[in-house]
Amino acid sequence: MGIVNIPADSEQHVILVVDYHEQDRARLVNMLIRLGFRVVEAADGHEAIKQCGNHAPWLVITEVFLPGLDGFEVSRHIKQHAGERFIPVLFVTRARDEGVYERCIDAGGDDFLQGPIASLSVLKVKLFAMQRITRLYHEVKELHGFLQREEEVAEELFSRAIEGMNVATDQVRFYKKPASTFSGDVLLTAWRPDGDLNVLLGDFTGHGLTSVIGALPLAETFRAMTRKGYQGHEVLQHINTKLKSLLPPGMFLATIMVQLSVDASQAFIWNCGMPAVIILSPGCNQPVSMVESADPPLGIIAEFVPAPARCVVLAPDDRILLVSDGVLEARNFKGEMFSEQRLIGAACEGMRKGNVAAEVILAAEQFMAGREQDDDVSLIEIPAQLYGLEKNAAARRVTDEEVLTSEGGGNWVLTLKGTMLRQNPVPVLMSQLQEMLGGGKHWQVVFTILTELYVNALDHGVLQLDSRLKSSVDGFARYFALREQRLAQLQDGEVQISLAYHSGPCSGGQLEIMIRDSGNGFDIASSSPGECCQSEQHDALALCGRGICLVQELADSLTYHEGGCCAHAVVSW
Amino acid sequence: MSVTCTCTSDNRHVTMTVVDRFDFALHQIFRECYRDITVPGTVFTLDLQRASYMDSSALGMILLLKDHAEALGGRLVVRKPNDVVRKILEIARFERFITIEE
Repeated sequence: MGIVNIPADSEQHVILVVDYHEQDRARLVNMLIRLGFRVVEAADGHEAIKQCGNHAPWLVITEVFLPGLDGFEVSRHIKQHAGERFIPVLFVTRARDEGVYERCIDAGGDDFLQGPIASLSVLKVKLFAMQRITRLYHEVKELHGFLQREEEVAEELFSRAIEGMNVATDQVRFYKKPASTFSGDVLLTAWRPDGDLNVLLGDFTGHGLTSVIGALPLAETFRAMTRKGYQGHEVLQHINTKLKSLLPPGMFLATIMVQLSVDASQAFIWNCGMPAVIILSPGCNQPVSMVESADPPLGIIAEFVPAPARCVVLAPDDRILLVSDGVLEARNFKGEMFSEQRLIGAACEGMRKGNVAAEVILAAEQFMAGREQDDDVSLIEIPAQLYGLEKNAAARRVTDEEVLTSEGGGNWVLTLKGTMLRQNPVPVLMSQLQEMLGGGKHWQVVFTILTELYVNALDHGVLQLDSRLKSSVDGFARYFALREQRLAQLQDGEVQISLAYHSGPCSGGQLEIMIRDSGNGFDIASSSPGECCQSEQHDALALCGRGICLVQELADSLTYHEGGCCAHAVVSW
Repeated sequence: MSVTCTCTSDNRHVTMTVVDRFDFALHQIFRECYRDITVPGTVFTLDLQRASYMDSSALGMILLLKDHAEALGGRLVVRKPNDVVRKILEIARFERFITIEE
């Protein structure tokens, strides 16, 4: 038979032959030696196990019935103690009982032969088959190891590219436990140009390698747009468009975006298909508020317009908890789920102990009691009060190399009318300025001033919203609802932004900002903005009137003209 | 855990019923249920009253079925989700683009 292929290194291939019948054993041993194998022998079960330990055979051929331990027990013992190795067991039996064959396979045997073996060619065929399954086993093992190593390296690279660039990691607590090497959950943070923090928790459909293909474009879009100063809903809209075109149908991203004001009295939250966001206050047995999903996950709808953000007013010691559904749906051996109720219990307990994330993880692990997780588990705990980015001081510190040294100047005028006002022009202006004038930390200041003045011109000038509405927590939410509504109905109205840049004689520069709106203006004399900052009654936590104070702090000067319709600010660096 | 599929005699109404857990394990069989139905204008009803639980891959499977139905010029109706399943559909705001009936 041509198929028999005894390898050249068959000398290395020791075979263990186990049989109490001396004549039969000797005949089989001779046949194997003639085929080029090395053979060790055993006459009973105990000796077989000893020989197997001493010689590490590649194959065991054993008679079923042996004195002491029988062949089945020998097979079981060998398979159990083989560890990483694969040792095929071939049973030989003189018995004609069909039940025996079944017991052979049951005991871990790989094949059986009717004994005594008389035909050399039958033996050769069986040996060939045993060699083939040994080889297959090793190939699979090798491939599996290769895949595992590849995945681990890829995962490390991936984590560095995606999550390695996160900011505020010393203050925001992240926890992620993937169900496989790759997690479908993505945790991202980035600073906005005005020093505010954007946090995103995303959960792609499923888990494992296929569920993270969208994470790279997601992280890139989130970072680039956050840095340029786009608002949360604009970032989400853009991510949606990108994912819709990239992801295969049926795959999507559930996500939460939190835009946290760095002076910590408010957060804007968008929840697209994730479990409710939990806001916790010290000493409370219940969350102070929950932000439920208001939109479908991203990547499903082509024309996606997110629902207005939920604006949450925060006290300095409040904490915001974001979780993926893997936390709520973690199951124990009874099949029960961890559930929102247990999550809230653990989160409130964590507030008392000063670490919400750790307490929730501990509670979930105790609940699962060693059961393997079905889905990725992720959690982000954000403190309301962030430190580390000195908004004003850091922004004003300008290093020499960042300053444009050439002398010169330029003017920009941009007029937005009617529906065009729905788009925030500040990021576009900022990227134009930076492209022409180079980078530098002073642009953070410019960004803040432009944003505050533009928002004032739009909100109070064009949309005629009264900022006093914002003086209560309820009013705050009403204000933003009203704003959305008026913006959607906006037909006319106009805001004009004029910028004039003058470069300094050797370094530094100056920007003159003029923002004019088509509104009714306000009584400059009676609501002199200067007073609001100097007044002792001014409360640092007041919900309104902070925009103008901030601009006054940051700019060299701020004045109002034309009955309040035109704001004029000068900033230099 | 299973999916069954019944058609009316005119082949224009197809009811798919999911029993027990509606998750990734059903992926293949769920797709096979509707893949060969190509009668224009077919109305697919996904009956979930016996589905005990649904995960996010099941949401993805529903979207694929919706795409299939709409490509035929037909539509998809999801029927009678229990409270657990309804909650998951609600979180994902599926009622915005899929009809969910009691």
